[in-house]
Amino acid sequence: MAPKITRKVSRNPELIRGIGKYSRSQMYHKRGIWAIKAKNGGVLPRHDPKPKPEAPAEKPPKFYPADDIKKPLVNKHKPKPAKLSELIWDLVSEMASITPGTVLILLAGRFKGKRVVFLKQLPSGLLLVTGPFKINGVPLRRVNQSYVIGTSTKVDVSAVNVDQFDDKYFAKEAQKKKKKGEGEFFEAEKEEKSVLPQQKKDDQKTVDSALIKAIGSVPDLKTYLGARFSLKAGVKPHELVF
Amino acid sequence: MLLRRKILLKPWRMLMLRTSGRRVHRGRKFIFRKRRASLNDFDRFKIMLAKIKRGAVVRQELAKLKKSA
Repeated sequence: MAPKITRKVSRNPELIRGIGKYSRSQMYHKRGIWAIKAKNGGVLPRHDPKPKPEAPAEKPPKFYPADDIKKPLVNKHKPKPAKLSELIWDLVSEMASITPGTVLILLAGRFKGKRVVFLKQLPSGLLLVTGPFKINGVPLRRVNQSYVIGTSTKVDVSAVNVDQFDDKYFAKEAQKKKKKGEGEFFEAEKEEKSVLPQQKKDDQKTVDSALIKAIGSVPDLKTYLGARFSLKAGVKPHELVF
Repeated sequence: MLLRRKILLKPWRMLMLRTSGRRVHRGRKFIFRKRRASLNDFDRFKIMLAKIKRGAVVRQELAKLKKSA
C-alpha cells in the first residue's frame, strides 16, 4: 500500500475567500470518493466514536465546606521598564535627560532634597543611584523616576563598574519565622537589629572610591553634592533651569 | 493715540540688550535678570558659595577696622 500523502496545499485553490475553483461534484471526482465507495460497498467507511472512560464514582463528602477560603487574586503584572524620559520640569528649558553620570535631586523619601549621581537603569525600570555615601550619606539604592529631578550637571562615571547590581541584589532577605515555645512566650520579644552585610559595605566602598575620584576633578562639585536642594522665598520652581 | 506699554516695551528691551543700555541702571537690571534666569542648579550653588566667601571677607575687614578705631 502506498504511504499516505499529507498535503500541504489544498487541491481546491480559492478564487476569492470561500469560493473554490472546483465545485463539490468536481472535487468528488478529484478526490476519488467514488472509488472508495465502490471498494466499501457503496458507503464511505466510518469509525465508531470511542466510548468515554467512565469517571470513577467518588464518594461525596458528608458536609459541604462552611468556611470561605480566600483565594489570592491572580497577579499577572509584569513591570514594564520605564524609558529614561525627559522630565516635565525640563520641557520648558533645555532638555536634560537622565544618562549615566547625571546629577539628580531626590524629591521624596528618606533622602529627599539630596543630590545623587545616576549610575544606571535596572531591568525593573528603577534608577540605580548613589550619593556617594561618603559625601552625603546616600547609599546605593533604587529610586523611581517620578521622584527625581534631572539636572544638566554630569559626572564622569566611566571608571565606575556597576555590572553586578541588579534588582535581586536589593531584594529583601526573607525572614524565617521562629516558632515560640512555651518557655519563650513570656519573654519580651528581642528585636533583632538588621545588620548590613559586609559584602554590601565593600561594594559601596568600591563604587565610592571610583566615583569620588571623578567628582574631585571638578571644582565645587563635592560641596554641591553634599548640600541639600531648597527653595528660597520668591523662587518659582517651574521657572528654574536645572 | 497713546501707545500701549507692551508695544513700547519690546523694542526698548532690545535696545537695552544691544547698545548703551549696559550703562543705564534699568538696562543692567534687565541684563542681570535674564542672565540669572538661565543659570542651572550647579551654577546657582556656586554663586551661593561665592557670596558666602565674599561675606566672610567683608566681615573680616570690618572687624579689623572696628578694632583699630
